Amino acid sequence: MQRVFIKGIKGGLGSTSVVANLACVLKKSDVDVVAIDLDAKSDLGLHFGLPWKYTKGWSNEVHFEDALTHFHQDNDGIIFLPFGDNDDTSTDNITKTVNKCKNLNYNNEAWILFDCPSHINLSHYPLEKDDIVIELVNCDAICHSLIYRRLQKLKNSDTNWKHYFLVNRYNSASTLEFDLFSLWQSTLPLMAPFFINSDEVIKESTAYRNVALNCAPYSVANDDFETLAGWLVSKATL
Amino acid sequence: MNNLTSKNSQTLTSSDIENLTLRFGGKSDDYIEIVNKQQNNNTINKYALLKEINNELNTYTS
Repeated sequence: MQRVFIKGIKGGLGSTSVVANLACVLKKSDVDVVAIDLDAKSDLGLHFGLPWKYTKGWSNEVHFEDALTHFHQDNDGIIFLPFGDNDDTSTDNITKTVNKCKNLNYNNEAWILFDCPSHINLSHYPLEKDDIVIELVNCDAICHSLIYRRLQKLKNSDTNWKHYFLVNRYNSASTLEFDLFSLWQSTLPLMAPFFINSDEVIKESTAYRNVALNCAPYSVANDDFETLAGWLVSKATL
Repeated sequence: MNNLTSKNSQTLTSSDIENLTLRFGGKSDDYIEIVNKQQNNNTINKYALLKEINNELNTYTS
């Protein structure tokens, strides 16, 4: 089972949308895809058609075994687990949930995607050698600062997982974004060699209770997610 | 004319060349990473925050 942790380097970078759209593209390969919501906003289910009134999830259960009743399957066959509405969920509980997900009965080819909140530090996740961590960034100066702070921490720690930065919501008409992306591509070794374009399709498909693949399969956004999925497959098999 | 020089990351060592060696063989010396250093310097000097961060990193690493 390949674990992928997706989080924003700061808040509001669209990690939930990336998890939902990536899950659907990976599912096209007829492999098992499981998406786990670790963010207290608990909005991952909305992308997969979960009714708005449904607010329960793993955080509402004391034991993970009880949370199994909160797993759902969307029309594309993606299995997902909502966070729930327990506001008192501790970071320890999130760590335990990630660990318990290792016991899910899926084969080695399955993908398990974690939608991680940006405010919880990576050190709280039980990351292992084969795990992939994708930190989403925007092409702005604050992210530039945060990336370099992160790189300094990574350099001084015993990280053994595969860590990458991925530009989300790239605006090709912006001079600043072009400048930053060009700079990062040639100087940052952990930068993914592509970006997810800013595309209305992503917001619109969410409004239609769906994902880009189903709403606009020939969109730029869906192309980008297919690129991301293919790139992840290459990283997972290295 | 573009000033193309070897990649010189100030924070981490790139694994690109290592991966190329693993995939296509040969010696790591056979591969060169090319970077438009002049364009990168222009970008860094264009924006005050980038310039400040770059200066701090250079101080930190030197």
